[in-house]
Amino acid sequence: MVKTILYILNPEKYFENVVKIFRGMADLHVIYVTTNKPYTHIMNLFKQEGLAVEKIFFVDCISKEVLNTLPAETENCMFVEGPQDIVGISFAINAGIEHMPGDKILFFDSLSTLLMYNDEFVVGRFSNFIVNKLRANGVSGVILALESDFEKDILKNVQSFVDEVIKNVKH
Amino acid sequence: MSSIELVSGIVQVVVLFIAAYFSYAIHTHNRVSKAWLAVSTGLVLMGLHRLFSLLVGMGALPGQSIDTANMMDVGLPLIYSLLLAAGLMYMKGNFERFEILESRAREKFKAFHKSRKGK
Repeated sequence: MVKTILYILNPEKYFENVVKIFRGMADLHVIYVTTNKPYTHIMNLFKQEGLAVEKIFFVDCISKEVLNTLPAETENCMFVEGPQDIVGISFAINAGIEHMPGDKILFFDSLSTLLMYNDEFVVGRFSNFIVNKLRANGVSGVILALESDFEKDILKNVQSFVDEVIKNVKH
Repeated sequence: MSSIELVSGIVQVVVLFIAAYFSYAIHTHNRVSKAWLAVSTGLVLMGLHRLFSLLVGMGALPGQSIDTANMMDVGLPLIYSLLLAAGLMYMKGNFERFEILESRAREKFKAFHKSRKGK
């Protein structure tokens, strides 16, 4: 069933939870939007955890912002200017939804980082756009946010238009 | 100043400030496009210029110095013309970037699709 889930994660077990969520989508092609860690770092961590990375396409929104020298842009990654480049991120996600092969899922990591670079209003509108774009194209989505942002109006807003909210990933 | 000129002048000032507001609203829509701020500022200055001319025409600003009049009629139009031109020129580049970005994203995913098909 196609649905978009908002995961509210504990920052201390953040990556552990990401891995946990990822294990549940083994057969899917994944559009991984990273706003807080360079894609090379995530790939290495996933490999260490024994996760297959062949079906993951990364939209890296942080490397251009923080690294002096960009890692090579491989066939499974594209760089966006930064987490503040909402238009660039939207184009990348849009292209991914339309051109990624087979059954796919969008993995957005994370709304909390996006909120550090953009107004709540902009992030709210962007989230609504993405969730409805996914719905219209029959694609599932996972959106991550930190527990510390749970009480923010924007997160309450996002909770109202996703299909499910999971506050703690079961271990 | 005739009443038509007065009403027209007031409408022009109001419309210019409304245009500046919308220009600013576009900037808040996407903060990457800072160039819109130059356009917004240009429109505000244009509105101020029009307001100044209107007030002078109404005789509401008696005794203004020649320097002020010169600055308002010569300097200000030059400044807002430059701001509008620079802002729109930068925005043109931004729209071109969006187009490039969109087609690059599309190509990247197509290439990814192709490479995965071969495996």
